[in-house]
Amino acid sequence: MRIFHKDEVLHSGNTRNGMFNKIFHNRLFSFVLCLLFIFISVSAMPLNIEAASVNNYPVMHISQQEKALQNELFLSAPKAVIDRQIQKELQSFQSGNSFSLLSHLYYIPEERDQGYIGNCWVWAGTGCMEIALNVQLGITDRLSIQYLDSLYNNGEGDDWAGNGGFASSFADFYDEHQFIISWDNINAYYQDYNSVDRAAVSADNIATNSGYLLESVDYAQIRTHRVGEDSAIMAIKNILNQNMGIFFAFYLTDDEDWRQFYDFWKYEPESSV
Amino acid sequence: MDVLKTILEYIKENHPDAGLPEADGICYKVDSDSRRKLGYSRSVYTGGGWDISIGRPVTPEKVYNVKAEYNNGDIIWIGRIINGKVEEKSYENISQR
Repeated sequence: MRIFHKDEVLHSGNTRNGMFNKIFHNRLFSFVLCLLFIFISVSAMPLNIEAASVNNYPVMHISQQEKALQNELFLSAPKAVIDRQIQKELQSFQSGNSFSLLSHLYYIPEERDQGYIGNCWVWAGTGCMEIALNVQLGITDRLSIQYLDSLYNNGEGDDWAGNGGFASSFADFYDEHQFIISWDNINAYYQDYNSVDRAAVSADNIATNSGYLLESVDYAQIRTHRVGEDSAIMAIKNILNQNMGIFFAFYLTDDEDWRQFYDFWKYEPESSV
Repeated sequence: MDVLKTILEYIKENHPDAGLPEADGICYKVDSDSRRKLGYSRSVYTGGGWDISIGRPVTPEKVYNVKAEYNNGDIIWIGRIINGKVEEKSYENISQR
């Protein structure tokens, strides 16, 4: 890993290649993004406006085609490597033991708020990167969300970062980009809280004075379906005990399900969990 | 709240020059370009030369991002509904209507 300093200003424009030519041999930071899906879905047929009127929430239905695409994306990912030694240790643990990776993060929950846009996938992926940064180099640093928002598909259009993405999109972006910058750079703090159809700041206006070179960014799947519950839990624990963050994603069928989800987490006591 | 009806009523009231059709003249269409992604989904409604795209980011607040477009860009309305309240971001009408 290489830490940039202010006298090595690295912008996302045409200076990038020159900089990488200069410091390419120093890249050390490799990272594995683990991917876990709990997939709940139903099919939806096209409907006319009358049907839409009866259904107060006309979006958030998933089609068979979309389901197939997401299954393909997930199932085509390489499988996460299960550490046999950790597996043996986990099997001998008494119930009630706990393990946490939170100490690897600068973690103030209320500061991790995506606002009104659909870029949860960037937050989850970046969190995994922050854990990897601390595990591999002992550095606790907030990494920029805004940087990817502003660069991904040029920060605009139907496929800008605020309109959703996948763990694979995140990993592919950084595997190609090969560096990630700190939150503390000028304009690298989060500014898309209230954005609608594009990033709030151009990538050209984000300073890249400090950041980290990436050797590679990969993702892998943890199988949690079509395996027993105990096996799924054991696989998740195994990856966590390898000090790797897990990108957790799940889907619900419609807004009614989401309403129930939010009601539970907003209003139920902690003892309900 | 019916998102589509809310948007149609808002645009009709605030931009009568747009000449939006009645709600029953607009049908849902399968959005061949749409991929439901993690954190976001989108539906497209079409009718009378209009394409109305309604996006739903998965956020604690009930948010819908809307783009209503007539005749491939002659009229474009962009806005958002947050918890039932319409926020207009932009409106352009370069058509002759």
